[in-house]
Amino acid sequence: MERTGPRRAVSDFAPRVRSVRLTGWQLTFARGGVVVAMIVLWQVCAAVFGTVDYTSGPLQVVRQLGEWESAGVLWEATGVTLAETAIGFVIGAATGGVAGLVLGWSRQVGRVIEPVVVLLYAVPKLAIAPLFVLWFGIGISSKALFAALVVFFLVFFTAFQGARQVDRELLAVARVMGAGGRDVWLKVAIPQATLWIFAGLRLALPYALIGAVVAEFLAARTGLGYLIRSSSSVFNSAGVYAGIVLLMFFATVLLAVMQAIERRVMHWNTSPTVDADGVV
Amino acid sequence: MTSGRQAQTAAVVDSGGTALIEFRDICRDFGDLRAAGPISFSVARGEFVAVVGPSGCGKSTLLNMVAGMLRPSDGDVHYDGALVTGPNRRVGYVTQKNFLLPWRTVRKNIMLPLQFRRYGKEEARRIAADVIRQMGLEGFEDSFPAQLSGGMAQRVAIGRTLAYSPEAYLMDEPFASLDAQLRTSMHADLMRLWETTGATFVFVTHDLREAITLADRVIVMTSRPGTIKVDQKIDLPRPRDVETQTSPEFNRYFRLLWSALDV
Repeated sequence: MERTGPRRAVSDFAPRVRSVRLTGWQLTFARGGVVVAMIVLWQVCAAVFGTVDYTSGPLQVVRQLGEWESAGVLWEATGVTLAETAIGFVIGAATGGVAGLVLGWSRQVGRVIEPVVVLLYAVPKLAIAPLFVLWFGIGISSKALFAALVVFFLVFFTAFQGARQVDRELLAVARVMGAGGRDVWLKVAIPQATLWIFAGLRLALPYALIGAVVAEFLAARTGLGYLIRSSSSVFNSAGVYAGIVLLMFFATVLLAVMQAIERRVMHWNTSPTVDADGVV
Repeated sequence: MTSGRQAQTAAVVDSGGTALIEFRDICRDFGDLRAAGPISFSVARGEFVAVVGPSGCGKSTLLNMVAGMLRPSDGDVHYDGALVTGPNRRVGYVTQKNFLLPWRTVRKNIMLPLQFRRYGKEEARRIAADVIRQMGLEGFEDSFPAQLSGGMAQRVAIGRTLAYSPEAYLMDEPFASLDAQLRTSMHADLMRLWETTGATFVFVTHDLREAITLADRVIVMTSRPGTIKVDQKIDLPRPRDVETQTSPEFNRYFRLLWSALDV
């Protein structure tokens, strides 16, 4: 947001201090500069210390991506991993969100199951990944379901909290205003819990990707996790890094999409304030 | 204004009586501790009653009971001759917190109770436009609560209850967070509302001047356990402008009620 009006007027009286304030493009360039510097540093260090075989380097990563592309595995692996992520995220978010809202809604049920939820939350999900391979095989379904499990817990936890945070007095006031049971849910409680649910979704999205990849590490025929693991098993560090770079890229894109959706739905939450007392 | 008025009496059970609101020996206990009561008084139809008292004496509790949001530990609350047993949809409750829905615009917040009451969309929009004009909210129809000042937000909260023209308004320190000037102008708005609608008002405040300025009757409560200390009729001409508020009669009421407040 640009600051205008009174703030500018005040600075006429304040001592003039040149402060650096980056505008949109400058900020983008500065951020890009940092990334480029890190990439260059990586390459230089690998060359200077002669560690290319261990730490790889940007050029090697690009070459590796090219090889995967020409071998036809790049898009296949990416597509499979993203599909597992998407399916897992949708299943986990839907079931976790609904279960969290319903169970968090009732005070008594909430009190009973809260310790159970915390306990389950603390289960190291990684430890049960092998079971998913055992149960659901080495195809897409075991990865998608494992991602769904990870997402389920994160979203369930936040939706559960969100439902418990809904202001009971507000609901009572809504009933006096004339709200029936359905109105209370749809027009008051769920929108109020949405803030929490979005926090859970934002948290869970990268974990969906991680969940899918971790399951691929264990047993798979394709996917980014498979590429990383198979590269690793032949000491191809460039392959490992190329997989990581792809994961970072897709995680960033997914989060950006998520934030755009959130900004649309929650536009009321970030609106600038207007002091209107003087106007009336 | 005909639709959506059915089933408003569903929450009350007929038991006879004349006053619109009647407290019969109500008490509020927390375990063995008596927070308020026993309290008995009634409010006649069209009357403006102010309730003052120290914090924690159970003023808000009284309003919650009339609204059907809270059951007395002992005693009964009757509304229009019937026992209040659940959410009382015939009253408008302006709570201390304004409880506007932050994701709805001013217009949509005002339309909320109308949607709850299944008014038609056209009618709801028309009523909302009326209320927005009446409350001086023009130009802010599409603003969100976070964009409003405290006074504006409170006006939206009052407008939201005004929209469905309840026969009684319960107000819990609605102007507590406003500065003195704004409060004075809100008092004038409120008096106009009272005169034009003929509605009944129960107004909780801790500001004695506000109570005397607005009310036909001021009820002073004691501190815990809250009971009625004084029930005083205010016989001052209306409108009670600054002149009235600085008159000897006004000050006589003020001194009388002040001494009744345990401060």
